[in-house]
Amino acid sequence: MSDRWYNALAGRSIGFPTEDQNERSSAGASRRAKRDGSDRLKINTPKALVRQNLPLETWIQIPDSIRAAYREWRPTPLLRAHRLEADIGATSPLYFKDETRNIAGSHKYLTALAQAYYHAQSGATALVTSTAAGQWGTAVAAAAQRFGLRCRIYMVPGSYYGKPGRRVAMEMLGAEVLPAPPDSAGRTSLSAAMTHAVQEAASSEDLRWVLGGSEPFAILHTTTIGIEAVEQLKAAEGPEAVERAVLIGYLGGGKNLLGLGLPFWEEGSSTSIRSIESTAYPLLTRGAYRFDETDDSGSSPRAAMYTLGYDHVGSQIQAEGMRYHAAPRLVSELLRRGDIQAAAYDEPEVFESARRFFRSEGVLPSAESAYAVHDACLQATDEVNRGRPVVFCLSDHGYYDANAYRAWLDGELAPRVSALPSRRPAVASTV
Amino acid sequence: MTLTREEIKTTVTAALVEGAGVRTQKDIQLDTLLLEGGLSLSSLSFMELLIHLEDRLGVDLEDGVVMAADLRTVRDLVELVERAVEEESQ
Repeated sequence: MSDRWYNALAGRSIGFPTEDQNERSSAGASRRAKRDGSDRLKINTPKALVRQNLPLETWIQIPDSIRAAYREWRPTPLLRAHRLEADIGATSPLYFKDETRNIAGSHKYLTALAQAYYHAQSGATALVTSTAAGQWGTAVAAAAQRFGLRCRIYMVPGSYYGKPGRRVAMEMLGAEVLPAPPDSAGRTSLSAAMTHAVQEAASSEDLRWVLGGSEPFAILHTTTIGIEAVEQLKAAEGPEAVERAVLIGYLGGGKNLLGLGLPFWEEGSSTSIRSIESTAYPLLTRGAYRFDETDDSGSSPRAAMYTLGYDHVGSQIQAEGMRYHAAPRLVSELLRRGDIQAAAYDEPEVFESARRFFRSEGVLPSAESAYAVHDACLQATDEVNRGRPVVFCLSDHGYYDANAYRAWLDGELAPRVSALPSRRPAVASTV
Repeated sequence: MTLTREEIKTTVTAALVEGAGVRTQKDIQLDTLLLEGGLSLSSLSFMELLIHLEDRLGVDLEDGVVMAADLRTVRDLVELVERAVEEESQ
C-alpha cells in the first residue's frame, strides 16, 4: 500500500484563477442579506489541509494514524469484469477498482479519515457536514467516531426520508442525522444542505464544518486509488497498458474520478480520463466556465468552475450525489486545459447497465457509480478503444439505494434531457 | 528575526495583492475589512494567505491561535502575524 498521496497541483503545475477583488465584492454585496451579519472571519479548516490545496509538493507523506486505518481494507482489488465483458461483447479488457469494501462502502472514506484526523489534531471536538446520497455522511460519521469526534450530518430530505438504511448506518456510527432545511425558495438540494451546515458552523464555537467533498485536498487523499491501480494494471496487462488506459469515474466531488485518474499521468501522456455526469446536471458538457458560488447562500468560497448557476435546480434524479450546480474547481480546470473528457447520460440507460453489472459481477453499484459503469460498457465496446484497457472506479455500493432501483424497476424514471442551451463560451480569467 | 509593524504590514499587503486578487496595495488600509465591504476573502483563501506568510516570514501560525482569533480587519491580521514573529524571535 502506498505511503504517499499524489498532488497533481504540484506535479502538473496546475493553478486556479483568482477572482478580482472588485468582482468578488460586487458578488458579495448581492448576497450579503443572506449572511448572518457578522464581519468576523471564522476559520474552520486546519492549516495542514489547506497546505495540501497548494502546489507545494508532488508527493505528500500519509501520517501514520491514517495509514494504519487505510491498511484495514487496502489495497482494494482491481478486478477484471470477465462476465460483463462477455455479456456486452467487449472488445477491450474491462476492469473495475472496487472501492466498496470498507465501513462506509465508499471511496469517500479515504478523505473523510484524513480530514477527521487533521481536525482532531487541531483540537476539534465535533464535526458538521452535509450529504446528499449519504455516502459522504456515512464516511464522515465513520471517520469521526474513529478519531473520537462528535458528528452532525444534514441530509438532503429526499435521501433522509428515502434511504432509511443509510440514515441508520450513520446513526449506528454515532452521528446525529437531520434533514436539511430547504433554501429560501423552498427548494431542497445538496447546495441548500451545505448552506445550512456552513451557517451552523459559523455561528458555533464548537462545530467544525467539514468542507472537503470537492476541495483539491479531498481529491489528493483519494489518489491512493490510482496509485494502487497503476501497479495492479501493470501486473495484469503489462507496463505499456498503463499508458493506453481509458479511466472512468462519475462526476461528484471529483474524488473517484481524479483519485483514480491523476496518478496515471505520472506514467503516460495518452491516458484518457472520462468524467461522467447526468443529463439533468450537465455541468461539464453544458455549463459555463466562470466564477460562481459554491453554495446558494454565498457563505462558502466562490470559485472558477463549470456551472449551471448557483440557483440552478435540475430535474429530479435518483443519483442525489450528482444534483449539484457546479463542477469541482480542479475538475473544471482540467477540462478547461483539455486534460479530461466529459459525457452525459440519461438515468434509465445508466440503470440498465447497472443491472447488467450486478447480474454479472455481483456488486450493486450506487446510483452515482452506475454512471461510470454505463460509460465503461460503452467504451469497452467501442472499436476506437479496441485493446485498450478500460478501468472504472466502482466508487460506492448501492445497497442503500434500493429506492432508486425500485423507481427504475417500476418504470418511474423518464429521460432527463436538460433544456439548457449548449455550452456558453468560457469567461476570460487570470491565473 | 526582528520586523517592525510597518514591515509586517508591507509583507501582508504584498501577499494580499499577489494571492487574493487585490489590485494595488493602496486598496489595503489597516481598517480594511477582511470580509464583505472590504476584501471579501473566504476562510480558505485567508488560510492560503497565512501559509504564504508563514513560509515567507519563517513563523508558525498555530491552528488554535488562528481559529480563536477575532479577525475582522487587516489590522487584526497584521497583529496576529506580529505576535507570531515576536514569539519566534524569543
